[in-house]
Amino acid sequence: MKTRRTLLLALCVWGTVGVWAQSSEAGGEALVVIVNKSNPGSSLGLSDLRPVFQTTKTSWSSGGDAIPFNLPFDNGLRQEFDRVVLGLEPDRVARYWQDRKIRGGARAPKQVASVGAVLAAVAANPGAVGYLNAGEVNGTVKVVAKIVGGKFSAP
Amino acid sequence: MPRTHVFHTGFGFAVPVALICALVTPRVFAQAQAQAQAQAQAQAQTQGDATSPADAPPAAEAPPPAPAAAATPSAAELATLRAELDELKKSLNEVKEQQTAAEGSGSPADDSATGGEPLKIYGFMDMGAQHIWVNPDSAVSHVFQVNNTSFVVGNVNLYFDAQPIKSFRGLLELRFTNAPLGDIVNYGGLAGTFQRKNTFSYDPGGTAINAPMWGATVILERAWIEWNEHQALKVRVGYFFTPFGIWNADHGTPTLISLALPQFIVQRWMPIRQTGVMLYGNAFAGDWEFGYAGTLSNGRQEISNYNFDNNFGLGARVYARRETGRVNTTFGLSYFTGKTLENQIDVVASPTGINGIDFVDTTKVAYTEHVMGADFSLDLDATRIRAEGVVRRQVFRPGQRTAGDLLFAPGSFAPDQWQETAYVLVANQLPWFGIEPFLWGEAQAQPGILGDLVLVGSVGVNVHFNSAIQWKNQVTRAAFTNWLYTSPYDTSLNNVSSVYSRLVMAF
Repeated sequence: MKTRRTLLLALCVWGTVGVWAQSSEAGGEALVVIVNKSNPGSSLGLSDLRPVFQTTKTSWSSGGDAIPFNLPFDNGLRQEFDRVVLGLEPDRVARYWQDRKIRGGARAPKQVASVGAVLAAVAANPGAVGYLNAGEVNGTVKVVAKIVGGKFSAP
Repeated sequence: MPRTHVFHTGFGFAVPVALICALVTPRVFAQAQAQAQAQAQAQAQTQGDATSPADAPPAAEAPPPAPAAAATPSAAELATLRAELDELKKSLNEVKEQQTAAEGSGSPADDSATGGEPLKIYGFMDMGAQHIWVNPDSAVSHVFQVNNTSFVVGNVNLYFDAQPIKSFRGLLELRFTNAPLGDIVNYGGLAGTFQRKNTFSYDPGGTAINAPMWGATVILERAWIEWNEHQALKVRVGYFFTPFGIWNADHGTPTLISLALPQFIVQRWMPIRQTGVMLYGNAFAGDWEFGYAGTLSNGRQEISNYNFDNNFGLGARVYARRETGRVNTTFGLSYFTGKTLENQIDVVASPTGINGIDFVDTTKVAYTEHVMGADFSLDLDATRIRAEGVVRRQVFRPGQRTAGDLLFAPGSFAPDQWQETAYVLVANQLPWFGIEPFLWGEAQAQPGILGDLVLVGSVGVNVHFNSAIQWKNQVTRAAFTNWLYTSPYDTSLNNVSSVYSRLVMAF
């Protein structure tokens, strides 16, 4: 019995260390911008993407509604995305949207709870655009830009 | 939170193992405990104890398991454990897949078949204290509440933001006030008996019949419905803020840098709000956004909610904006024109009229106005610069002018006039504690009995505790001087100094 517990304990420690190691490695993973597969564009520039997430631009240049999906404010991916695309630190982002509301301006992008939800929403909506880690992309969406090390670039 | 997403997409091996360990470990310990209990019961039975199970000692008090139970696990046992781990791993993956699917299908995009979004309620409020100094010999000191320190409830505004269906949105903003309680409605003396407005009543819904209450006014700040299907052309109908310059768009205490307002806003050189229809939209060229707004409305509503004739107010705004986060720039031009009437209808005796009466409709006031504004806004990192210039031309119809200054020139009438104003405001947020000092200078020129040029200087400090809470403080000095004309009075008598402090919350 004692040996079994020891084995299990060792297994848990190994697993935890593995998780930590993976997290550290994944910290440098590319963040990618995804759109619905029906979107005709193959890449998005910063000047195209920024106003969409500022909700001042509500349609794609190629036509159709542009529907941005955001992660929650405290999500690390969201903060990195806001920093690179909107050019705003988290505290400024909160103030930006607060000011927008007071002015009676357009609503902020729709917010979903998790990366899985972003993936599902972008896959389900023709005009949708979102972002997630490169490793989480699957065949249901199309990558149109990436952010690596705080730099925005084509996919 | 980001770690969670890393877990989802990591190497897919160590992560599930750790999670499964967390699940399996208690289960294994529980298994061992159950095994010990079973052994204790078996021992009791083999000892020929005739007591019923109910009389048996509690399992927790059973003797420790036989040494054989702690033996090194066999290969078969390890295989069983591995199979259990695989089973749990499979179950965990299924749960994760179900959760992801549920979150995706529950996203706002799929809230309803109509593409609507939930009603949002938000707002802001500010409250604090202020002191306004005016020379006690000035008439102003007797007319307004000055030279006392007063705690104040500034703005309490509530927004209802509805989008029940895709492409249609409605916004209602209400401001709750204590007005008009305490306002002077008669100055007494030559004017009659001094009287303040009293809104006292007994609470009709109170449990006590003598519970006092004071009624107050709820102000409709805006109420509109818009159709926003197309980015280049959106249509807004209802009661909206006039799209004119920076200040009138920023509107609320959390968004405005300064607590004090520029005089062209206070004096309403253009209508602050209008009832009518507004078309607006925008387009992009690179980083630059080019936008427009056009309004057709009843014009000024200071007199009435209704249009007295078919002379509508017309307004327009164009702007160019570049918002990159670190550097945000806006250039704007605004314009408003309208004809304003004040009609008086007298009921008079008339032998030829229906039932012996007739109606005489007289226009008492009629003027045309043109208001032009230019604005510039720049955010450069932590520095914010705002500047506006406004020119207004007001031309009265002969014999239909508004009354002049009732206090200093009773019996006079307002002249046709040019009015000009400009202000510059510079704020910079320091890297410590959200402290943002600012400077503001304003000049305003218009014909007036108290001087035709007013210069305003102001210094303030805003403290941004976070995005929701600010503490705003400001000291202002306004000086009345002569520029083009000479006033018969000592213009400096009406100079005003003010100190304001407000705690502001946005929610």
